[in-house]
Amino acid sequence: MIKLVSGDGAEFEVEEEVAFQSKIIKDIVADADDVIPLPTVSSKVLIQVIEYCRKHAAVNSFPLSPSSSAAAAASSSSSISYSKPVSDPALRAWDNEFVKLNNSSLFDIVIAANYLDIEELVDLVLETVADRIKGKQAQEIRRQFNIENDFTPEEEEALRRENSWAFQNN
Amino acid sequence: MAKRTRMELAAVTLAPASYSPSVSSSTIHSLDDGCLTHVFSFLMPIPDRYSIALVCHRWRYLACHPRLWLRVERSTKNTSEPGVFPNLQDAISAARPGDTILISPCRDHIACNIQIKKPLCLIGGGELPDDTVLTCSRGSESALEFLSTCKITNLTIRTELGYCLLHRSGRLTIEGCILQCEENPLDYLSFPIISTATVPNAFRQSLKEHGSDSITVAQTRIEGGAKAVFTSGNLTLQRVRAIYMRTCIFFWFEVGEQEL
Repeated sequence: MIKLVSGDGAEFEVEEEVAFQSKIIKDIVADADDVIPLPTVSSKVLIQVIEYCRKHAAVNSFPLSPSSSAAAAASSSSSISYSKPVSDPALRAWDNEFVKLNNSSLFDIVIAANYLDIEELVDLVLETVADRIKGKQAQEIRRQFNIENDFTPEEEEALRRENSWAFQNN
Repeated sequence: MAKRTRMELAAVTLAPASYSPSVSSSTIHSLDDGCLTHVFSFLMPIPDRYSIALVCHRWRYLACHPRLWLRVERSTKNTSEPGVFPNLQDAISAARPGDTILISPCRDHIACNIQIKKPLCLIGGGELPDDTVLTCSRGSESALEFLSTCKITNLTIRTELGYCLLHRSGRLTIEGCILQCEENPLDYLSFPIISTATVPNAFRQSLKEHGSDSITVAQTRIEGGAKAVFTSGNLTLQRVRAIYMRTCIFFWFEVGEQEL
């Protein structure tokens, strides 16, 4: 068992295969002791991350069938995005439920997952953020994510002109 | 993705003050550039990447960053890298509508009868258009054939016999390019630009609202061939301007529907 300590002092005991979903913890455990303080991760976020790792450790302990790993290899070489699709439909459905969170919770998780180097979780959350941007106008995106428009009207106009070649109707 | 070394992580664990107990106040600005670029890589160039470029300065910088472009490189050392292709045809096949393709400066790219059916922007990667040359060898009709709205910039397109650019439909923008037809006994068959686009009269009004077929040329050198622009449809050459330099002539003009 490995003990993880969150920034607010809560302790979590997890199995090795769960904690080792994080490459950084795997590296630390290899040459240190089994109590790992994670001062930048709050217990609320750590609970969610552990929940994700526990689920994925359980599923990933079954070896991938050769066909699905070949498909994953093929798709990663042909596309620019670096996501590996989760092949198991049940796990995919579980992931979809897992990311039904508000924006700031998603950002907390992705910051923690990035810090802990859990690649699949980073991909999952960032793709979810991308889905929330998809199909929206700039103004709607600013409202949804609370982003201030720091363009002057002249800059905005120049940008629209620059991109106008791509659009039939302006 | 920021990969932290063990040393950095140790430094962080020694400084528990860096943890702020305030609950969940993260905004999208808390994500680092790597994360945001990763988010943008999931989005289609049209329309999403154009929308996000209008959100704020930081998003514009990341959304228009060449990291999200496709690249054509003749040398084979990079071809295992995602988004890098050994030739233009492969890059165009793989591109998504609205993508930008950066063509590495090199004088022997090949472009023979390449059809482009989706909106794309092709950019020469050199300092000058002379640095990036696409050559269409004899026996091919055209170097590039456009059936969609596209933009090409900072490129030289050279043809031995035939057309540099064959415009069938869409709005084509040509900026800062060089179009050359080589001297040849048969060069009355060569044209730097040919447009076959025909806009039927009855549809003109409705097409006006969507923007119709046209070619816009800016600061481009056009050399050789029977004449610079040949139209077999009903588009006409208009608004021609030229600047005579000591060694060459730069053209600006439009090919579009006749203005009434």
